[in-house]
Amino acid sequence: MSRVLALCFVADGQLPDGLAELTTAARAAAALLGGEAVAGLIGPGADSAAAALAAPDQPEAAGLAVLYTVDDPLLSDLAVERQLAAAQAVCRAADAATVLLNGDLRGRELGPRLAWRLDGGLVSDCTGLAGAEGPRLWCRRPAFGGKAVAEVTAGGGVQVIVLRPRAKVEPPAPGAAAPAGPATVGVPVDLSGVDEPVRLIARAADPAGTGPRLETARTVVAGGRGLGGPDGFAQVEELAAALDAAVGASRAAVDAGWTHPARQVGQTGRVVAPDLYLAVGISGATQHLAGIAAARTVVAINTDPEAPIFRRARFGLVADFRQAIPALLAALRSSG
Amino acid sequence: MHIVVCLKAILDPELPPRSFRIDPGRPQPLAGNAARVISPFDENALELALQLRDRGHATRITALTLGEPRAVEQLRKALAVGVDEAVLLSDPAAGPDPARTATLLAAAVRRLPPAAAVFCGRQAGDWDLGQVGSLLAEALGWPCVPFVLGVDVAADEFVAEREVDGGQARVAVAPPAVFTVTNTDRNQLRMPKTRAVLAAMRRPITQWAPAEAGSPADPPPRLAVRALAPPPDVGGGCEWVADAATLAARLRELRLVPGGGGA
Repeated sequence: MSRVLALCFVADGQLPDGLAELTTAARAAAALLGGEAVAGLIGPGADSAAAALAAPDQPEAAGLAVLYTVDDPLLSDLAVERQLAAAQAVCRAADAATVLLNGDLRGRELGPRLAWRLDGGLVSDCTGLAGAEGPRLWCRRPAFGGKAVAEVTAGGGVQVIVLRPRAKVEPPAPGAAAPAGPATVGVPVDLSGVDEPVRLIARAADPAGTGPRLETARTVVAGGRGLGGPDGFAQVEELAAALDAAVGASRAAVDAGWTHPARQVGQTGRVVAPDLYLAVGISGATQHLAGIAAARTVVAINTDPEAPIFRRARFGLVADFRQAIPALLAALRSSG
Repeated sequence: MHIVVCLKAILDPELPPRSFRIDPGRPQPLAGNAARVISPFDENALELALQLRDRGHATRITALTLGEPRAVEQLRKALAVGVDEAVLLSDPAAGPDPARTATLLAAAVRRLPPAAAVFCGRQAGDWDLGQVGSLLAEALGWPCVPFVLGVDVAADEFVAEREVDGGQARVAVAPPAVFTVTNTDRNQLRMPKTRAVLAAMRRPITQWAPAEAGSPADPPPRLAVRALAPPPDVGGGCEWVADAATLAARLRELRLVPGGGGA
């Protein structure tokens, strides 16, 4: 039976973000391929994380046949070679023809290398599944900065698929009663001989300041080239603070040095899914729109009524932010 | 220290959506008269290599491109900003196949004078696959540092600042290694001087057929594309508001900002 493996990484026994989307995608892929879905948990504390996941009534684990684990303190955060060795071992143990990873930076880093070592191919940035032809699973993914959508498949041997963050793959139709909680299988891997040629010297958390994280924020206020300089960001930050929002930026603003790259929203920046996205002085390049595809309501404030952002926005205000933001703040602060 | 920078020549990603056309017969864009440029992240990579030479760590930089003959135009820009040699690995335009690209580039890197590093962009600005850098490291058997913001050299090692989930990290690696580069304000490619642009037009560009570069027989394709289509229309229409007060009121009504509804 064709096996689809949802592979994720555990730190300190904690299940990672996005696990539900990952396992849903694995089950959807398994349904298309007429196979079964399993999961692999790799990292320190993977055994206890798997035990928690295998408990009854855990929605993420429903429909998974087996949970494979590699639990080893040597699997520290940036121990990439060891993570790859563990991932290869889990893929072999699971006899997986298809492997899914979430598209955080770790997934994007490991995905291609894992595919190479498994003698297979990689589909990156997958936003949906487009059917199966025999053992080949076709995937949808954006290309050309979001100006097109491609249907691709990878393989030779194993197909590795890295999911776009926030991509919502349709769950499979509910079929027969889900199997009872998955069995847990530890996969023995000797990592002691695996060298890590890249050595970690220091780590720093995102220097984006206090406030909500971009990826999980319900509201985001973002600034772009129209701000004209770093001072414009002070007003964006003031508005964000008033709305308890995270602060984002377009690539142009980052490249100009007006704010930190950790705030960049877009195809290669953060992918956000807020209820409200306020784009201030952002023209709306397609690669930026790719980062806000999941934003529920987009509001654009821009002096150019032809700016492409207005085609995506629900509300548009053609105005200079220097007047619009103070006026918006005043209106928000005044009693309802 | 010799650094190889891999550059990809692509359709200008700044092309507006309305000018982007897809070939009706196959899953490829129609090039038409669209401008061709060096893929933007590759320019960031090139700038980092040039900065290492400015600081006296790199002594030689080679720009390497796998592409059609007209890609020499992009290699001329690399010469104009200061690379020492430009090499075109001739390849007819084909669909995206990162494993094949990495295999061919790796063979070319091994054919060049020994390099301490290969720099390239984290993903190309056309297909956005983001694989070649990592696969090139696998093909060469070298370590890979992805999502690099900056690179320096200290005590015969590379020290790189890279993005990681939740923040940044500083890492060290002994050469040789592959670095895939992401954009910051400090790695925007310098503008070439006009004189350098003119001089670059007369510089020779080494051209190799893949076989000459010593590449193995064509590896099997690892990626197939069966369709390329415009994205579904977001639609909905934009409601224009006259002023900030109206906007605040509308957002309040929808409970998207505090203070709305019948609280």
